[in-house]
Amino acid sequence: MTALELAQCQLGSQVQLARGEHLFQMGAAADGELYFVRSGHLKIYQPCGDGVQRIIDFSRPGDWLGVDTIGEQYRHASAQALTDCQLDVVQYRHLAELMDEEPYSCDLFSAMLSREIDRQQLAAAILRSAGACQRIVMFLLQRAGPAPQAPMLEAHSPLPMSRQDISDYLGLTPATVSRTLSSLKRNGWISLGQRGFVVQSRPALERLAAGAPLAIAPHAA
Amino acid sequence: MITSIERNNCAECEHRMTCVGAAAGNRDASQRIRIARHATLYEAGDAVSDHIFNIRSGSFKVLRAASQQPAHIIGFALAPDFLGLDALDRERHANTVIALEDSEVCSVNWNRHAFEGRRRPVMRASLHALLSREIRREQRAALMLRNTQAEQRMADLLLSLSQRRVEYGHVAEQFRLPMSRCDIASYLGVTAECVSRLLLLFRQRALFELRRRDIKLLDLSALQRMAIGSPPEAAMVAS
Repeated sequence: MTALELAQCQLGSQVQLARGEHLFQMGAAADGELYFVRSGHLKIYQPCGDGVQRIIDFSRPGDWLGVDTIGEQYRHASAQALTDCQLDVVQYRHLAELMDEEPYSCDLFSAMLSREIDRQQLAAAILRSAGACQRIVMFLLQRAGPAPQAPMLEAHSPLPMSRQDISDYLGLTPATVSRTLSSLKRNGWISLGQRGFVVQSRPALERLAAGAPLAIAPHAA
Repeated sequence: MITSIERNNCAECEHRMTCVGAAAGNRDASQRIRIARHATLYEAGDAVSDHIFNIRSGSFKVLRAASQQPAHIIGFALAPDFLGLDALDRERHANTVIALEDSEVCSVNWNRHAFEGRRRPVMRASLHALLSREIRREQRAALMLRNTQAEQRMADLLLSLSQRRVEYGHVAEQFRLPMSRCDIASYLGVTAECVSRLLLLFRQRALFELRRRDIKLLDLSALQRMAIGSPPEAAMVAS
């Protein structure tokens, strides 16, 4: 189901969030609400005392939020805006009515939920693959998306979360994340901007993801 | 690897309520499949059909490889869990599913178009709630791995198995642990020796009793404290 279809159906109302604001808090009533991210980035996390957070996921434009609490009474996690955000609020109830009229959209919605399971499984598989460098590189490749037609067409991928957020998400320390990112940059495999990065050498990153050690990987000119 | 397919006698099945309208009251809605211990239900790369599987009896391990890496166990599925919920949108399975013991699964059609009129597909709201719950479980499994300490991970595995028992209306404290130590090790991302040491440690701390494959949790709140983990400073050093 695309943003366009939703907009046509007039299902949602809009909500704006400023950077740092919460969309919902863990333990709050879910009220059958789902959210579609139109613009901006959020983090989904569980606060667990002493200011410690457990990051579950980052979401970006085109993602759905709340699909992990369908049929549940309460939110099992909090969602906080990492940048200014624009979202559609959609009642699952309304979506269900639409799906009764349009069985195909029901299949699309099921497929989207299924992809979400698949994505979480892949995240878990990445966390099990040992090396810190591998995890970071796979995380970057995942955010960069599929390869463009030509290497020079590599797009700028936003990285709106803090090093602390990334390290919590990948089960590493912020120092390791910073060290690895600057090492990738020094080798010329990525370029790092203020709030994002651009892939410079996909083959090199893919070698690292496949397990090549960072130190011995051949240096780019 | 599928050894026998037979008509499903759903009326006798104790899990028929979990099949959410797919099978109950309609005996032809699904097929029952027997899978021998160590046999594969489906393998990564196999074509995906319109079916999801409900485990009627027994248990399975689910393996997944991150790009070009060796496969690891990413989950355990115990009756009456569903299998294949991650593949509704795929042409080929990404996971391999292997029986931990002699097991039986029901193959349930989820596609509302496939058998219109003749068979009832899985009902929409239930399917969505089912998928949603599975997302939460997978999120939790990934969260477990972000804990750097093996003790924390072990406590989390026991608690998540226990929570599932509760979701299916059983007691929280007592269940079977059908997987081997090597399987647990692969799931937790530690060595098999480490798992043996952890099991011993947990027993010494009187956190559970383990008799062959039957486990009885003795101190749920202590396990919960362990799963949340030690102070952040200590966790920081470990990675």
